[in-house]
Amino acid sequence: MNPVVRYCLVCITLGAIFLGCTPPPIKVGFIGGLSGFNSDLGISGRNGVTLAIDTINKKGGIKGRKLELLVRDDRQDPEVAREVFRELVNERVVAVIGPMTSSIAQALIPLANETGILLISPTVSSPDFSGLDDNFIRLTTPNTNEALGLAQESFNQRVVKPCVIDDLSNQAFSKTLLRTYTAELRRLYEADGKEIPVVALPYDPDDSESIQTLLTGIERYQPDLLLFTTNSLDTAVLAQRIRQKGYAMPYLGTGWSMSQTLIENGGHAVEGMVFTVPFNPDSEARSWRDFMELYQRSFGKDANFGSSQGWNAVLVLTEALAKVSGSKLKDAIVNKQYEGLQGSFYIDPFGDPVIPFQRLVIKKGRLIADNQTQP
Amino acid sequence: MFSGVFISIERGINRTVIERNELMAKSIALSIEQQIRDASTLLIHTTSYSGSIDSPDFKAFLESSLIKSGIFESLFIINEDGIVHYSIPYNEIFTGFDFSQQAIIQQVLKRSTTDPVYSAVFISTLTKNPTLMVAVHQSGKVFAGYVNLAWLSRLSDSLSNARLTYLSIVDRYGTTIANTNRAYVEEQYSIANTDLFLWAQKEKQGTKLHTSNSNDNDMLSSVRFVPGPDWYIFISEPTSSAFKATRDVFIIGLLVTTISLIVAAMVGYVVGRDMLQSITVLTEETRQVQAGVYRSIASRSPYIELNRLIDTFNAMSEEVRSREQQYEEANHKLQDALKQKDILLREVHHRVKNNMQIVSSLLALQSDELSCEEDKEYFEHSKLRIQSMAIVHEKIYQTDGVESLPLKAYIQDLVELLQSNNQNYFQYTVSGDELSITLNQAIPCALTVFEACTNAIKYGLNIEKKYLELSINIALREDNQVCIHIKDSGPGFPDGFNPAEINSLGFTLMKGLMEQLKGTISWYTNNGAVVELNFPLHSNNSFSGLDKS
Repeated sequence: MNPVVRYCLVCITLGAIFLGCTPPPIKVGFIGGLSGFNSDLGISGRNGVTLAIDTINKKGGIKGRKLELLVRDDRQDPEVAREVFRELVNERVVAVIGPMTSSIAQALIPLANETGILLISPTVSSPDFSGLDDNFIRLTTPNTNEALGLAQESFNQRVVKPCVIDDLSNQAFSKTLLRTYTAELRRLYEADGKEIPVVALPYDPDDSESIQTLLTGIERYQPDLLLFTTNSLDTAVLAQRIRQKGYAMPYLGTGWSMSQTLIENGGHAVEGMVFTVPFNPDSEARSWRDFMELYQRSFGKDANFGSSQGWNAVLVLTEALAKVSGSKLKDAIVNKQYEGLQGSFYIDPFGDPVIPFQRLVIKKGRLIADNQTQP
Repeated sequence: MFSGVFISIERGINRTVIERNELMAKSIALSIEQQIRDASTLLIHTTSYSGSIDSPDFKAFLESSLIKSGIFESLFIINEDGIVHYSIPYNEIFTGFDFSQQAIIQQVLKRSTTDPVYSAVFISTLTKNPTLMVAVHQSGKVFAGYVNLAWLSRLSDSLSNARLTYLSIVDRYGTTIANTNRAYVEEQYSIANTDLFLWAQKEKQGTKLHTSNSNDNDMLSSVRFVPGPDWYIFISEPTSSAFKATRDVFIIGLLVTTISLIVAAMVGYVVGRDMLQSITVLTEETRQVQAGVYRSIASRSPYIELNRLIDTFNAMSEEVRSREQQYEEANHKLQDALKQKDILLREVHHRVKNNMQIVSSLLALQSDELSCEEDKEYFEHSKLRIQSMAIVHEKIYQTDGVESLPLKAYIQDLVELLQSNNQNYFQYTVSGDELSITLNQAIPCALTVFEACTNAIKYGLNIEKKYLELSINIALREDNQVCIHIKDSGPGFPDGFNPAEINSLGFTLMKGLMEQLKGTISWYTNNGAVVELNFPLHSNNSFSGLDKS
């Protein structure tokens, strides 16, 4: 055979082989609470992650490889969370986005360190995980910062009988917040030469009697401010039930409950509720507005903190995947500035972000940035 | 043909599968649409009450007709401000709750008609099931009924082939509100960005082949849109099970074909073997017939045609055997007749020879009575001529055949006869080709050679030396001419020798006899007298049969 013809045939054959080969997808895991009462945050986080991955895949993926999302429900159960994490490890995911709550993070971080699979949580905010050189990265600041802001808000309102509704289902989050809030509030009052008692009323969403116990506690203590550490739906129902009893004390909420679900189900009861969070649903940032529109179109709901953080988590991971893979992922992520949906943020060498906080207030059924009242 | 039949069956089955799934999706869609419409109608009619909505009777009526009937899970009566006036059940919990921020309440409050408004499907905080709120605005109140949609997922249980056929219902945003896998509902699994959902939004009904997002299987999904709540009903089935019947038909067809081929091959083998066996016997027996062995084939074939062939062969074999026998018998008779003829001929020749001997002896006896030497010589000559002819007959009956005699042996005997009847000794040689000559040619030839030899002996003898050498050569030329060359050692022919002038009986005889043989005679002198006889050899003696010894 003519050498030129043979060369051409070899080139055509090799070309056909290469064109016919689709590179395998990059598997990315997601773990979040997708069922039960606390599913709101998990579902919105998953939706944000899904949208981000779909968007990246439509642009051609990472280095020509598509991203494949493997979603697992931790059912807010640490044991289930460990089980599904192992499943994802067996599926050879490059990293796991999640979990969405601190109590589950507490169960998964040791496994992440053991297996070398990077855990990137969009929303875990317990300060217990700060400053550790582990295989855990998160995209929200420790709730200690949030607690400091809430304490300042309480101090500004000169409350004398503040009360914290302590969610027993997410103690890793609520206990830390309660501890920091109490300490900071006392510090502020002590600086003013006063003492302030902070009462915590436990609430167990899995106990149908718990709400009545809580209402009895409120009735007896008569607090002049309530800080909810519960999720959005529980916060909405509790807020309504408390208002139903005729109480008008101001409400403080956390980033965990701050969502459209809270506003829709809380109605007027949550009007005026204040949050100090690293997130502003009313942001005018172009990327946020585009995301809001895409999210609404895709899910028929407003994007919220969880979905925004889910998107950002994918952004952080894929920027690193474009450069490195495997054990070097964390090094490629930390100590770097990112352009998130609502502005830039920085992830420090320990995998903790530095994001400016904002004071948000629910006004006329909308979350409004209201920094003017913040000292 | 098999391919054509298979393709048409495949198309028929595939069309049936698609029509079945589309019909299932359509019936479920119609059922859901009807139930929701019924629930809405019931809500509208039940709440169109002109009296006080706070009357215990009305509340009891609402509870029995809407809640206890199982159609609604709960009912909220909400005032124009979005505040819950009362609810059934859980009245003590929700009364006073503010629902004004809920999109559906805001939407229905703007309506002046009693047309129902449907919420997006959400997970109920009370039942954890997907729930649809249907709200109507009338009599200054909003009546919002919560429809528990758990029964939607139970629909999948009613599917005849539930393990392989999946029911999925998604809302207008692609969020799962019912699924064979209940976890998808609770987790609000979304198919919003899938090709399947984008196609369903566009087409509203039909069937699509696609790849499953959850397990990468090839699926066949039929969709039907439910207007009102704007849901999409999907009936999905893995193509492996949907088109299993097609595959089964193909496999069965393949199996039947294979089995048919195997059976045909086996039958062919058995039939072929039986036929081959019969044909082999026939071939062998035919060979035997060629070798002269005639037998009948006793074995029978299971096939009529072959049996006919065997019967025909047997008949033919018997006929040939019979004819062969007849020929043999005839041949024997012929041989006997020939032998008889041969014996008779030999006897005739023998008697002719004896008679000639008797004539010769009589001539000899009578010559003894003659006083004239010349007469004696004539008698003697005649006697020898007769004997020379007798030798012909003697040679004939002594040889195997009775129609010819060996020329060389005959001449040898003839010269010996001359020598024995001659007073002078002479030497002779007879040489040349061995050839046979017919009786018709033998007598003239014998007499001619006799005359030539007699002349040679008579005129070639050296009187002084009493010596004569006679050489005779016989040759058969390629033109089938016999050449007998007779030469003596005498002085040869006298100058100007002309047999016609001397009136020689011998030469006259020789010329006459050679004419009879259609031959020629020539003579010349070459160290003696040479006479050459040439005549054509008649049949029985061909050049090819010549023995050139």
